[in-house]
Amino acid sequence: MSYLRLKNARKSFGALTVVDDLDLNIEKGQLITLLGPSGCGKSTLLRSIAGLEFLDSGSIILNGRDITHARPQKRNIAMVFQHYALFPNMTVADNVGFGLKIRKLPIESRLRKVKEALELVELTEFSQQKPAFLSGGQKQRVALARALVMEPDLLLLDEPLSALDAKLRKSLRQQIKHIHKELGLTTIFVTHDQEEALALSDKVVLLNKGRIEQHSTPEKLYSQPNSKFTAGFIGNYNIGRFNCLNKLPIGQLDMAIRPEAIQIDSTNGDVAGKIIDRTLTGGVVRYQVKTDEGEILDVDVLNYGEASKLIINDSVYLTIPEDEVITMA
Amino acid sequence: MSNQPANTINSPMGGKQRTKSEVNKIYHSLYILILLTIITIPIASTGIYAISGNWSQSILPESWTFQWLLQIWTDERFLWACFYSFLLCISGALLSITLIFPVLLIVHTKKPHWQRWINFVLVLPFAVPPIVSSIGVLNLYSDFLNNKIGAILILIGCYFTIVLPFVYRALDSNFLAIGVKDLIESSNLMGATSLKTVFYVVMPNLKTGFIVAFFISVSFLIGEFVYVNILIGGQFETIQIYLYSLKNLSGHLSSAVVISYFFILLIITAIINMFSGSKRRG
Amino acid sequence: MTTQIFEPQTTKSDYSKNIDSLTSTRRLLQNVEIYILILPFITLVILFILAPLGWIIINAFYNDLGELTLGNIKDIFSSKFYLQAIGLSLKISLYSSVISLLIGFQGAYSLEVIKDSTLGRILIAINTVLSNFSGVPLAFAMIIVFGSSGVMTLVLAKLGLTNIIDIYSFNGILLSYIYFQIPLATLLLFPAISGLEKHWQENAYLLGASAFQYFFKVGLPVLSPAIMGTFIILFANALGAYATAYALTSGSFNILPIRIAALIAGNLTLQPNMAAALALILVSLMFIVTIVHQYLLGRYHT
Repeated sequence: MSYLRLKNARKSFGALTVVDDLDLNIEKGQLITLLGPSGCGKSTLLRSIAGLEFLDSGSIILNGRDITHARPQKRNIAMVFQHYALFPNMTVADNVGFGLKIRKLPIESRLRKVKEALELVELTEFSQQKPAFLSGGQKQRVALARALVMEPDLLLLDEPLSALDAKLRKSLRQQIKHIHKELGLTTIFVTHDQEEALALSDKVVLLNKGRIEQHSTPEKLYSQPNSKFTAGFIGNYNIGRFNCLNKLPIGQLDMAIRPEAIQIDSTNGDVAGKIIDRTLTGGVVRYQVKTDEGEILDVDVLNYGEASKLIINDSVYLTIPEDEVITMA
Repeated sequence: MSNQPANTINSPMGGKQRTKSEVNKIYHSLYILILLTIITIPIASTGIYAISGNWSQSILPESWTFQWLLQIWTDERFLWACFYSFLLCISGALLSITLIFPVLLIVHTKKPHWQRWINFVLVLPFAVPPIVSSIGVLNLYSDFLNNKIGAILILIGCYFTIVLPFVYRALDSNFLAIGVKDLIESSNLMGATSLKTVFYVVMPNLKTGFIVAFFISVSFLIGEFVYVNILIGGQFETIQIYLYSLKNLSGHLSSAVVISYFFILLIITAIINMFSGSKRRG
Repeated sequence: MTTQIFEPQTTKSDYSKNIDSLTSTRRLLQNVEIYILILPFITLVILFILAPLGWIIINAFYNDLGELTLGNIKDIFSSKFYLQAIGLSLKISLYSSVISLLIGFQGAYSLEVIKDSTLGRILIAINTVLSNFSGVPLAFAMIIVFGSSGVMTLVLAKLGLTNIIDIYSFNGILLSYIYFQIPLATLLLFPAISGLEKHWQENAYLLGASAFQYFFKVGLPVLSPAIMGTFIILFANALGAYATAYALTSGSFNILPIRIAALIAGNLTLQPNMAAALALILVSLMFIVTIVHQYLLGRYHT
């Protein structure tokens, strides 16, 4: 039985349909990412689950309870916002304990829980500071502690790392993953950054124009995209109708091939071509290869060994494993 | 070599020149200084007149004295005028803030599309100046204006219309600075009702806006003359009315009042600046 | 909504049906709450701006006998006295606004340049105080400096220049208006000029433009909405100004606000309808200026 169940969810803003007849099931304890380009409806969906927007039609059932029309106060859902939303007039400790105060928890338990939450995010020494004195990353950890201390049925994170710089993003991402493993809290994470999605989630829900394109594990999403949109959004797929793969029926189907799945060699291979561009992205070298028949393919190799030392205008041979070619309608 | 300040350069002939931007700054400082000096001549002269004894034909006074200042600050009539001025200004300011705050709350959370209508309302006090609306007020509410209490209430209502745009703008910029929508949503998710949220989360973070709005209102209202002159018909006086009554009497006394008034304005502006500055920093 | 018709009835239990009606009641209550919160605000706006305005618009067209007539308007436009009032009002507002705008523009620009220094901060504060120093106190201060035995008058007399400024004349009143309009203009233009991005100027120089060219081709056009907006505010402010001229001349200077006040609170006869007519003309003048402003904004603002 799914823990969170959305059925026929629909939400429009005026003439624009943002969530389009959507069904979603999430198991307890999973970390799910809602991924997609801007305007795909992921934030609206998240806010509808939280109760900050109300669906036009459809239902939301959480842990057996129908919360479709419940006010946000009553849903026992906690949310971390992109811009932290910490209360500037309160200390870190008061911020974290705010929800517990509302619930009228006795002082000792409140202080104890706040302390535990701050230890979890490693911010104990800042408990008496006001948010204005904290860095972005620290503020986000306070927001996280504030959400966790409520022991919610569901934790929502609305692009929580987008406002942080790259290095901070990675470290905070790890912390979130670690906390999730430790607490086992059902979590929904919204992001437009696919690296985040692939690194964090148990399952990824890829949204496009208010509909679910694909809902699967990161591995499956990455290596078995089910549509042209997915292949175009995830990774760096070569997408097209490649004649060079003359072993396969061409037909009217698009094909997608991962650049790292193509083998490149100076002497041996099935398809002849020439390197027309070479880009170093750190651990990976990306070649752009033009086949003798004029088709262009991206080929990735690790920045190590013979294959990484080729240069522009080199003649090369490509080998493409049959089972790596994904066909899609 | 490296001891020179960054904005000086060595000219080829030896010695140093100021850079172009330094010259620029001097020019601009000079312009403003001269401008504001010219503008403060009337006030400065008034100040001198207020503490001068005999000043008939020479550039500076022949004698100095504090008697005029002492005289007005011990004058019961003046003190009553001060009382009424502050009563009206403070009430007007408080009333306006109390009425306008909920409107801002609603526009920033539930009904952002009302902003267009609000903008129209904010322009009205400029399009309908006090001299114009006082005609209507005088005729519509003549019954209320007959007694002191009624007159005070009507005046406070009129004062609301004067400060309306400024209070709104002062509070609005504070609202924008704190990201009020996220705060309210966050608070709601943690279980707080709207009322609790407004009192414990929203208002504590609007302290600066409230203070600036209050003092801006007072500074506008304390100089208000039109409504009091036309509507209250001698039932009581404000500082402005009292001042006007001194017109053909002693120039020294009126100077004393003017300079006292100016200092009150100065203090109020200093407070406003103090709090607008901290808003920017925080 | 069509999906609800074809959807199998699995989701709507009695429980959720009750919640549905609860929600619509709750939504209704929320809206009622909102309207209650803004009611005092709206009430005051109606009572003290809209109702008086309405009274004026209506009563401008009645005469003392209670008859509907255009007589008031006719009288105004056939009376040299009233026409002079309109003319002088427009003249003094226009002159003071334009002059203050020019001086204040340079003032705002200079302030922007020095705003970070201590001197700059002090001057900004002084400017703010001065913009509120209008009306009776200003009038008295002007009399003290420029009156018949005023300080400046005496100084100028010593230098042999007599009768330069008669503070009780048009020029004197114009001078007083300019005195409180300049700080106001500076205050209003300052944010706009601060908004001019420094790197636009730097970019323009790199592309070969002189300071002059930058100013006329980039700076001024970008600032024109703010400049026009400031002019409107200055103009409206001057048009409706009552206290300064009244205090300077004891109400003998012939401008619209003084004329209006004389008809409703003066020592002569009470003529509220005529006052309403004059007020209507005043408001119409402001209205026309605002319309022109909006039109110019639309034409010159891309």
